[in-house]
Amino acid sequence: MKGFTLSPEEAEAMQSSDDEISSFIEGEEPSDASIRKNKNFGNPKKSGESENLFNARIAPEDSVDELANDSGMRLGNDEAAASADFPSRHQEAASAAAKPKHSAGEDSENDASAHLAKSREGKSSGAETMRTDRYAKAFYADKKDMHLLRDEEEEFFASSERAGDLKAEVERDEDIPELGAKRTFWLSPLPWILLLILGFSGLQTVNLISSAFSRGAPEGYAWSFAMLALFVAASLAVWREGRAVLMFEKTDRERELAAKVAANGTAADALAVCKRLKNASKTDTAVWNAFVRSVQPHYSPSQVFSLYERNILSALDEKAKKIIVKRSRENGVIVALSPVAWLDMALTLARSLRMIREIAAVYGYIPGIWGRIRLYKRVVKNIIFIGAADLATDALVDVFGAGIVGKLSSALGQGVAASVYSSRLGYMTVKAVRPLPFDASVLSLGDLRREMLLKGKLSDMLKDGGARK
Amino acid sequence: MASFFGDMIDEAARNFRLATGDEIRLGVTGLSRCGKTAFIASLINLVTSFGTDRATKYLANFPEYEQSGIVSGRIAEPSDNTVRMFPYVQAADALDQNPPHWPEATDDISEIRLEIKYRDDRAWMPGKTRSLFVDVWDYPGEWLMDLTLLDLDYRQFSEKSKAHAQKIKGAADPSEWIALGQLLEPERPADDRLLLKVSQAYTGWLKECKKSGFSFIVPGRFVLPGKLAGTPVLEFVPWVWGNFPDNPEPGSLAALLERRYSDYRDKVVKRFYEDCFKRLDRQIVLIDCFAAMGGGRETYCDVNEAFGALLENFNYGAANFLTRLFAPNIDRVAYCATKADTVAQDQLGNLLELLKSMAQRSASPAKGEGARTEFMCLASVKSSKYKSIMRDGVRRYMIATDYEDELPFCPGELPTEWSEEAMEHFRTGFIAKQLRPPIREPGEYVYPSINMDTLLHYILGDRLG
Repeated sequence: MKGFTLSPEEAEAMQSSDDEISSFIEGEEPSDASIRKNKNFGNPKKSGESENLFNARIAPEDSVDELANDSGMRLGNDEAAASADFPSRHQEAASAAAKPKHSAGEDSENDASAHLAKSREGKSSGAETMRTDRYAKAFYADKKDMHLLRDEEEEFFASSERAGDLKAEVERDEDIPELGAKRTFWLSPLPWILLLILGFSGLQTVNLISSAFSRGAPEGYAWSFAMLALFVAASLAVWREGRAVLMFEKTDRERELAAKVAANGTAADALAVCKRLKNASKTDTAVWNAFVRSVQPHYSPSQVFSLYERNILSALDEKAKKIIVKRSRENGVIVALSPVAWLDMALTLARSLRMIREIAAVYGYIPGIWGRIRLYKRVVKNIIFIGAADLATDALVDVFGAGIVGKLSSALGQGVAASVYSSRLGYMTVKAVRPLPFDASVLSLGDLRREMLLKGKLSDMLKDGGARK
Repeated sequence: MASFFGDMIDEAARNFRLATGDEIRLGVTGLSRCGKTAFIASLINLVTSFGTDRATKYLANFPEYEQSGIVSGRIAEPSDNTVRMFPYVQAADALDQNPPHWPEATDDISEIRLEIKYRDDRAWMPGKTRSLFVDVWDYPGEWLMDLTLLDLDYRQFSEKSKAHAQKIKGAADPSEWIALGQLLEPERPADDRLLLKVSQAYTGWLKECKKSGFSFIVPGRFVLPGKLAGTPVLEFVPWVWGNFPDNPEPGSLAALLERRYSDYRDKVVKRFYEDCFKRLDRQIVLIDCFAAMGGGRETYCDVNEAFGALLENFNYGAANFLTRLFAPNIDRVAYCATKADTVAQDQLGNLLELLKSMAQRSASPAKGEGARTEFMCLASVKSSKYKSIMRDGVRRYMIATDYEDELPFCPGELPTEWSEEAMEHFRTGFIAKQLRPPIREPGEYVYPSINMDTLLHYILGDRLG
């Protein structure tokens, strides 16, 4: 693209980038805007609604007028203007997508830009091979379309609604080996161990109940009823957690967008992404506004992102860390106290899912489908470990015979192991869920372990157990 | 003898400050006209505004400002009172005038020492403040290339000059002084008048080279003599005319030329090196990509050569306590593409790529020695404002200045790699303007800038707290 100078008439129509940035500032009062957004945010998407959802989340056109009316907020003219020229931008995106690639030949400009375009493509193709063709075309039809991020997002929402595009999801996932693992699922020992443990647990339960019946019908009924109730409760918990998790947005998209914007975007594009993140995590408007005010148009997208991390995400990280520590400790205590292997397992499952849900709620995101599969696989591994350890220690205690102290200390050991495993799961969850990638300074396993084991109920129990010995 | 020990004690005290991290010797390197003086002025301006409300707006990317609790910044007493102080007042006045203009280019070595006070978090000193001293050294960019002479003798210097003259004769014609010099006879005693004439013609040619945008100009003092103007050490020429005697007779022209050259190298260049470079521990390299891109085919080789030669002379390496005490060396280098305000905001990424591609050659040795390197776009005094407009259905990013008579313009797309091809495209398609300094509102103290805060974070961040 060649340089050019504007005519005086055109100069009038220019938009200032400072205004563009400040258009991200939202009304100061705790307005119903945020409530409305949150309401929208909770809705599971339906295919027909994607556009509305988009509007609500990205550029609240539908609410601009209402807001201006009902709270008299200082809503920049720019935002109004932005919403006014929204349809035109939309058309642009459509036409850009229709015209597959602005090929060098038909480009109105000279070879110079063709050369540049080529070099740029070369540069970007390395880093972004995983993108689908259609997506890439719409996106790279012209680099200047970066500004059409909003249309772009809409496009993406629309496209991902269709079942056929699951492929796109898969292809965009970084971790391809995971797929291989999926294919060999039945060859791995995991499901068999799971089956074995479940079988044993079933036998254990049957044993428990039948021995209760042998002591008398009422006791037998009481036990079986209790077991049934526990089973139903556990299943309910699992179902509830699973359903709640589905409410959140998927992280993959945000990461994708962030990577794209970081590769070649402007500060305003980065802010558009940050706004999505902020909406998802229900961040306070005042905090957000302070952040937007500190952004200047010359910041590179990655500078904007790291500013966002420092100003907003770090608080969320802290919250997530607290949740991990708390839940892992509880998990340890429960595993240490519970008498039956399958109860351990069920409770751990419920706790783990709950932890995932809570962490997801902090950021407002869940990972994409493969990320989720990875997490759930981890959960399954954890409960298998817990079940197997439980059964094994029971068997050992039975065979070698140990006093109450031996039983207690082995249970405590299990508890510690369970809490460590669970904290690892939490770490993985944050890693999968956090919309911007993180490094060790944000969260590290060592930190988590230290914090988890030095304080709280579990460490008290450990100390008591030691004293009793 | 006493003074010798005194010097040693002074030296040890200095090095101790360096070693404990309370002092940073910051070198600002760059060829001439790359914006060194403006950069230092802006740095001083920013540091002296520390602790006031005006500053925070410009320091978002300098997280240590908040984290380590910086209280204030000021210009401190210089560590060496015999060195000229950086003329900050003049530079600031130039930028504050109406209409403002860019500060005068430097014509001599100068130093300025800044003090940054911040909260002392060490356990045994609660509630106190600590100081970090930053010594900034400025010098004319013209002299920088002289460092390449340090390991050359007169013969090598002559050969190199000959090859260089051959290479760039398309852009700057050396025939005048070469023709004049035909008459010089190396075996005979010097003809002072003729030698003066030839060396003046030679100087004229070097100045012409500089005017055509070349940066590899040695000896640099010929172009900008500073205090040495008119001294005989500047009256010599490289020998480009046939044979040069192997063992020149004392008193012959050849012996005279050799001596003047070695005096130049040992008394002028070496001293400059020792004063300004040898004991730096942070280095900022300012690079004007636009000037380099705008030159012709000859400039391409010239810039490569200049960059390659430029960084051989610094000590790079990860600094630890011991090395800092005994042989301070550079552990961080920042390569900055200056004048980043002359591109539109969407092109900053391209500018960074271009800079990397240009500096890769010279950056690699520094990296190999363990120094950290960082690349960034920089505008120490930002003279433009970003705008955008929808045009032909595409959003174009523009820049506008504070001046009524200058219409907003879109500079065009920057190439991302440093090649002759890209240079050609740049010259035909890019509007590279020398922007005038921004007109500031009265009472606005801090100069607007691009990435000065990122640079501070990189250069000072690890030493604060």
